[in-house]
Amino acid sequence: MSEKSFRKPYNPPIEATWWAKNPFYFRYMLREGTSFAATFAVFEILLGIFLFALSNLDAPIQTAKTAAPYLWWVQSFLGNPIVIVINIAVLAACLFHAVTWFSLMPKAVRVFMNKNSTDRLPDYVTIIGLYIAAAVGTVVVLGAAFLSLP
Amino acid sequence: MQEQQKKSMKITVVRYRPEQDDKPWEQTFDVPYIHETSILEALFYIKDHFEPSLSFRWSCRMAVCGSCGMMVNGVPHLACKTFLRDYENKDGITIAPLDNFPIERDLVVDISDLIEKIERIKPYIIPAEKDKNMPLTKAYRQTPQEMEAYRQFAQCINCGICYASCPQYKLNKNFIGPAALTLLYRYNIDTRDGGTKMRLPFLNAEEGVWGCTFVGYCSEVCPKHVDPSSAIQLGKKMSATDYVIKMFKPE
Repeated sequence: MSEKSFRKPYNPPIEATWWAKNPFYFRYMLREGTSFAATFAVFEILLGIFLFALSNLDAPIQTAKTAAPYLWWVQSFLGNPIVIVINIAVLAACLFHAVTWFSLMPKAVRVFMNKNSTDRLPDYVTIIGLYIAAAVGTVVVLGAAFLSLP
Repeated sequence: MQEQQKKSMKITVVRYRPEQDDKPWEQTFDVPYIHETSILEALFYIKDHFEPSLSFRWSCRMAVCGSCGMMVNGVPHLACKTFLRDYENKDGITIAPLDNFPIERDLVVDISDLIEKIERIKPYIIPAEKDKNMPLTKAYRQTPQEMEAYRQFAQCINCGICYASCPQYKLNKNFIGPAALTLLYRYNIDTRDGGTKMRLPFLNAEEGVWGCTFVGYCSEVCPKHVDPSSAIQLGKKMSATDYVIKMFKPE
């Protein structure tokens, strides 16, 4: 004879707003949400490259007519006040992502100071290193951009 | 002393009696407290004075056994390690059973899934081939640094608080979870252990480290400061390294 079970476990339903109630989860979702900003930036740049390729690159002298698609991208698209506002928001989102990413990074680094030490590399070393790398990268990209100006 | 005894706090407890109830409901009590009263002691008071049928798990009362994990105002805590005095400015305390587990009765949840997952990753030292015939009288030697590498991750008491805090586990119960992955990593980097190969499939799986999106809340709430999210990120490095090695050296 099998014993009757009186168990009736209750499985709470998962609410779609689970992330809104805890500030920690909210920040996490905000951080994940910066991917939309990154997606916008990617399509923006792809559009620029596409319109650059559409321009008449074989013309002996580049005029406003031969470079019309690319100039439209620079002047009408990037120059649009709405796009400027969006791009500022995208920059803010990327900076937020970078700052939070750098502060999380020490968790993935577990290095001892030397061969015998039980002291680990302090977290701030990793974080400062990442900021330096980001600064160097920014200087290289901006430097290349300004050097390429005619 | 007189002043102390006057203090009391509104404590709301989530109740669920499988015989009568179809879903959990809330019951509020006025619990007197002093500076040292923990949530667990408040629950004792409720059980002794108001509601003898209230069920909850507890054992050691000092954050060693990992039995009394529960949600306090929506945040998973060990009831024995959480004090009423820290909630004085809040609008009372709501105590609920641990999130992400089936509720068995009142504050008791069914953590068998967590236990099964921890068992799955073989959380014990498996001697390496070269140590197979090592006499039992001989000790494994380990430098302080070799021990320090895993010591923090070995503090886990299997309380399930990290699972209650994990959105990935909430959304996908197949995810092997923070505690299991932490223990997996802890035994894999132990120099006395030779079982890495047996554990790697669990680490590399979609439900293993790659199911983690680095929310990081497990490290925030862990009562033993184990830092599971760190172990999981290090586990991702281990998994990626293993992937590259297997590309060049297939078995």
